Amino acid sequence: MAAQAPDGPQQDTVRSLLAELWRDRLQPSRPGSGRETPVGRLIHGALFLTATLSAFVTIGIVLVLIFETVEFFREVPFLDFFGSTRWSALFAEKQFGVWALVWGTGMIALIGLAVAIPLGLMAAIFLSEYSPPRLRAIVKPILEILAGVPTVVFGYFALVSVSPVIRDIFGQDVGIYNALSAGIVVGLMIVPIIASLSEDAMRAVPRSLREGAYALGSTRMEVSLRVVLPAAFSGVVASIILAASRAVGETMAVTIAGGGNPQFGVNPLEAVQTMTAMIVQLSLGDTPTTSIEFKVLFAVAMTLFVLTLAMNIVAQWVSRRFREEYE
Amino acid sequence: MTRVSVVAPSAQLTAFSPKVRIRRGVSVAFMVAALLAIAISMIMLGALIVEIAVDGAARLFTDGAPVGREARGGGILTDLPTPAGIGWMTWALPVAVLLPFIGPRLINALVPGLPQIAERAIGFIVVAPAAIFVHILYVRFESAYYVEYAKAVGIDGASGNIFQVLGEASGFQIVRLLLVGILVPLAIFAAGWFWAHRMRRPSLIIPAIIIAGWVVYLFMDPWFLSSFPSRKPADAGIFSAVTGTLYMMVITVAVAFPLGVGAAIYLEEYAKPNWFSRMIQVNISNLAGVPSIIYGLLGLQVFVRVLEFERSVLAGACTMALLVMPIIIVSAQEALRTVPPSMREAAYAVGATRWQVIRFHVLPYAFGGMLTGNILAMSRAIGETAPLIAIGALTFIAFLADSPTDDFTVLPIQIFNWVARPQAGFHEIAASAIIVLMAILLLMNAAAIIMRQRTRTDW
Amino acid sequence: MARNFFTLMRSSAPTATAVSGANQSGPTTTPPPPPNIKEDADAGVHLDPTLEAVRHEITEELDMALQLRQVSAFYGSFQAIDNMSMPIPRNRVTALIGPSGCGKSTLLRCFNRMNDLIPGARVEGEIEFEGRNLLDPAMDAVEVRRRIGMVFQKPNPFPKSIYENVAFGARINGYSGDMDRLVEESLRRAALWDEVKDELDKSGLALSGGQQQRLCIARAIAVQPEIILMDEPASALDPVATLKIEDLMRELAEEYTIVVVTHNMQQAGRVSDYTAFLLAGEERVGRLVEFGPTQDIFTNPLDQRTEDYITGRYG
Ligand SMILES: Nc1ncnc2c1ncn2[C@@H]1O[C@H](COP(=O)(O)OP(=O)(O)OP(=O)(O)O)[C@@H](O)[C@H]1O
Ligand SMILES: [Mg+2]
Repeated sequence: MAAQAPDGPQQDTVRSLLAELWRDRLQPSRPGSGRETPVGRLIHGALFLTATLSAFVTIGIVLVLIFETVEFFREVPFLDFFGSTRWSALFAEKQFGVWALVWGTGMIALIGLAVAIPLGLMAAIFLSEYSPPRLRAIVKPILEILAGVPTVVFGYFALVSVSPVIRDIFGQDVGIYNALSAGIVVGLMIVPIIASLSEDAMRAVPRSLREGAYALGSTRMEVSLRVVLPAAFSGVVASIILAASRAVGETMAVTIAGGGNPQFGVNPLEAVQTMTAMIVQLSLGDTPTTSIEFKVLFAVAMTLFVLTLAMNIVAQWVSRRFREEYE
Repeated sequence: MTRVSVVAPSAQLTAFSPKVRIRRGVSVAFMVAALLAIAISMIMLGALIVEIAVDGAARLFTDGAPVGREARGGGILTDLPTPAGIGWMTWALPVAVLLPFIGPRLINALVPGLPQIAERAIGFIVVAPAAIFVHILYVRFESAYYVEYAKAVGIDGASGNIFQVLGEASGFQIVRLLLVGILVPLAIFAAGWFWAHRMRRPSLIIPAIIIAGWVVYLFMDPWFLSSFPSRKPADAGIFSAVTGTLYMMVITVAVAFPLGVGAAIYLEEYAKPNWFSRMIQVNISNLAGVPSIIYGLLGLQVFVRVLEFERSVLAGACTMALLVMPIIIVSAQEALRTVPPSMREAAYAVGATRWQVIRFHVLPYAFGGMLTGNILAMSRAIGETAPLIAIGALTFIAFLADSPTDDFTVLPIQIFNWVARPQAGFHEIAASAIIVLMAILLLMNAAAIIMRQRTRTDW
Repeated sequence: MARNFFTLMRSSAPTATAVSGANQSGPTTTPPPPPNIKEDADAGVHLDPTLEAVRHEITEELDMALQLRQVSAFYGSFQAIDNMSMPIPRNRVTALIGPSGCGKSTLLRCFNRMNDLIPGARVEGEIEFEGRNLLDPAMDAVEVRRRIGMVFQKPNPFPKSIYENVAFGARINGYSGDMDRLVEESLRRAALWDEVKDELDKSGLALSGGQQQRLCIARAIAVQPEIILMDEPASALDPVATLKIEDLMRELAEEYTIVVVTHNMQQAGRVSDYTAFLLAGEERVGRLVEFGPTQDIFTNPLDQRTEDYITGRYG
C-alpha cells in the first residue's frame, strides 16, 4: 500500500501460491538428517502433525460435503437436482434444479471476466511492456489495494454506486439488484489477479526474446502481442482461470448486489442468485439441521467445490503443460 | 556449403511494405488503450473510496462539538468532549518516541553485556507494561473517562483506585480492559519501539503516522465506535463488532500461526521429496483456492456441531484459522527458503542437531518474513464475511463477549447486515464501518510492508 | 562512387559541428603526438589527438554504410562510450574487438537504436546512414531496426515453429511475396535449410545451440536488412558450429554489411576486413583506440595498447 513497495501483499500470496503450483518437486533432502535427539524426534513428530493437518482439512471438507449431500439425495432424486433449471427451495412447492444457481453463478462470472480480462490483460501489458519503472512502482501497489478490499465492501459499492448508474443508463424499471452490477464489481475484484499474475508471467519472458523481435523492426505492440503474450501464454491463461475460479467462489458482493432470484434467464439486468448467495441465504435463516433446506445447502456447496477445484486443477495443469522452458 | 542465389535485394525489398508510420500509430493507440484500462481500474477504486468516504464520514467524525451522552442515549466515551484525547496523547507521544530509545540503554546500563535480542525482548517486556501503567495512572486522574470506561467493560462501582478495580474484575474483564483500552497506547508504543530498533536509517514515517492518527482521533466521534448496534441508525455503533473482530483475530492468530509455521517448517526442513510431501504441497495450493464459504460449512459441521463450540468466537476463529492457514504456510515456506542452505550447512558442520539448526539458525532469520505473511493472512481474515455467516455468527450483539464461547459479531458481518437493509440511514453507517475496517486493513498492510522492508536480509 | 575514408569524412558530414570537428581533427593540423603512440606512428595518420584514436589508411575504394561521428553513450549518469568516430564500410565485415566491458555491445546497439529500449540510456553524436542521422529522434527506430538487423550473443529464437521464427519479421513488415520461398531462401542462406527442411513445424527452441543461432541469422536476413549486427554470435557455440557461422559471415558479406563483436582474435582475423579496437580507460569509459583494415591492425598496430591486446598481453 506504500508506493515504494514493488509487490503488494495480497498478490504476493497468490503469486507464491502459483509459484508453488509451478514447483515440480520439493527441494532435495538436507544434510544432517541422521542425528536426532529424543526432543528432536518429538518436535519432528509434532511438526509432521501440523503438516498433515492440511490434508485433514481437505478430507474434512470432502466428508462434510459428501455426508449431507448423500442425505439430500436420499430424499430428492438425482435428476431433480441436476436435471432441472427451476429452484424454489424456500417455497412450499420445493424444486431443486441446481442449474438455475449454476447459471446465475456462470452469468456473473462471465460478466466479471468480460470486465476483467480486457482490463487486467491490458493493465498487465502496460505494466510489463510500456510502463516506465517509476510508474509501475506506483500503479502496482494501487492495483493490489484493489485486491485487498474486502468483498463486502465491493458489495456496498455495487449496490450504492454501480446499480444507480446502471439504472440511469437502462431505465428505472431495472431492479436495484441485478446481475450486471454484481458482475461488474466481481470483475473489478479479479482485475488485480489477472493483471498481477499475467504481468509476472510476461515479465518472466526473457529480455532477449523481446530484443530479438525489436531487432527485426517490430513496434512495441507487435512485440507485446505477438512475442511476449504468446510466450507467457500458460501463465496468462492460468491467471485467468484462477480469476474465474475466484469469481465463481465469490460470495458477499453477489449476495448483496445480485438479488436473490434463482432463474435461468439471459437478461443481465435481472436479479439472479448464485450458488454462494444461496448458501448465504439459507445460512442466514435458522434452518433446522434435519430439514431438506439444510441438506440442499451442502449439495450446492458440493457442486461449487467440485467446480472450483476443477478450475484450479486445470489452471495448474495449463501452467505446467504449456510453460515454455528457457534456460 | 551451397551458395543459393536469392532474388536480388532490391526486387525483394519491393515486396515489403513496412508501413512503419501506421504500425507505430497503432502501437501508440494500443498503449493509450492499455493506459485507459489502468485508468478505469484506478477510477473505479477512486470512486469506491470517494463513495465510502462521502457516505461514511458524517457518522464517523464530529464537527468538534461535545457529544452528550443523553443526546445519544448511552455509550462509553460519550461524556468526554472529543479533544480529551489530547490528554493522554501528551504523554503517549513522548513515551512512544522516547522509551524505545531509553529502554535498551537503561537495561544495558543495569545488566551490561546482554545479547542485543535479549536486550530488546526484556526492554519490551519490562517497558511496555510500564507504559501501560502510566496510561492507567493517567486514566485515574481523568475520572469521568475512567469511571465510564470501567462501567462499559462491566466493572461497576469503580470509584476507587485501579487496584480496587482490578481486584473486582474477572480475569476476562481484565483482558478486555487491556484489549479495549490499552490497545491504542500500546500500539503507539510498539510502533515507536519498532521504529527505534528496526530502522536502518531513522525516518519520520512512523512519528508522522502517529501524529496523523492522533489528529484523526481528535476529530472522531467516539460515539460510533463505542455504541452497540441499534434499530435506529442514528444510535447504532460498532462497539461489539470491533471488539468481536479483535477477539476473533487474537484467537485466530493463536491457532493459525503455530500450526501454519509448523507445517511450513516440516515441509521445508524435514520432508523428504516423496509422494507424501508432494501431495501435501499440492493439497495446500488447492486449499487456497477453495471458496471461503465452504470453509464456513466445514466450520459449521465440525466446530459448531460436532465439537459443540456453538456459534461462538472460538468456532469463528477456528474456522478462520483453517481458512488462512494455506496463506501462512506458503509465506512461511517462502521465508524459510530465503535462508541460504550454506547457513544450515555451517551450523551442521559444528555439530548442531537438526532442531538446533532450525531453532537457532533458520528461524531467527525467517521470522520476519513469517510475521509478514501472518499479518497478510490476518488482513484476509479480517475482511472475510461468508464463512462466519455460514457458521451463524449473529449480527445483533448488544453486549461484549465475556468468554471465547460467547456469541459474537465482527465488522464485515455488521456491515453486511446494514447494507442488506433497505433504509439509507443504515447504508450510511455501513459506510462508516467500512472506513473503520479499511483503516484497520491499511494499518495492517502498512505494518506488513514496513516489516518486510526492515527485516529483509540481503545475503 | 569511389571515395576513400578521408574524402568521406570531409564531404558528407551534414551538420556544421561535425564538419568543423572533422576538420579540426583532420590530418592537416599537426598536434603533438600522444605518448603512447609508437615511434613509427607516421606510418598511419593520427586523426583525432583529443580522442587518442589512430586510423590506418583505407586503400580500397568503397562506400561507407555507416559513418559515426563523436558518438557517446550513457546509461543514466554512467558514460559507457565516449566520442567515437569511425566508418563502417559497405559490404565488408567489420570487427569490434576489445576487453570485456569496453563498450562493444553498447556501440553495436547504438547502430540500430536498441539502446532506446533501456530506460535511462541515451546516445549522443551522429551516425550517418544513407545521408541521415539515424540517432535523430525524428528517425523512426522501428524502420532503422528493420534495415539494420541484429544477431545476439545468446541465440534467442521465439518459442514458435522454425517456420514462424523466420516468417515473423517478414509478416510484421508487410511482406507480400511468397512466404514459403522467403523462409526457404533465408534458411538456405543461413546454411540451416538442409538440417531442418523436414521439420519446419518444430519449435525453434528444440534446435541445438548452433542451429538456433543460424535460425536467428535466418530470421534476421529474412527481412532483407542492409546491415547485420552480430554481438559475439559464436560465443555460445562449439568450434564446428563456430566455423559454420564464420563461413556464413563471409558469404553474407557479399551482399550485406556486417558488424561483428568478438572476443576471439583468430576469429576477428579470419572473418573481418576491418577492425576497430576499443578500450575502456579510467572510469570504465570506452574509447576507440585504433581502426583500420584487419590486416594492418593485426600485423602493424600503431598503438602500443592494440599490440598488447592482440598479442594477449592485455585484458
Ligand atoms: N543496461 C546497462 N545499464 C548500465 N550499465 C550498463 C548496461 N549495459 C552495459 N553497461 C555498462 O556499460 C559498459 C560497457 O558495457 P558493454 O556491454 O557494452 O561491454 P562489452 O564491451 O560488450 O563487454 P563484453 O565483452 O563483456 O560483452 C560496462 O561498464 C557495463 O557495465
Ligand atoms: Mg558485450
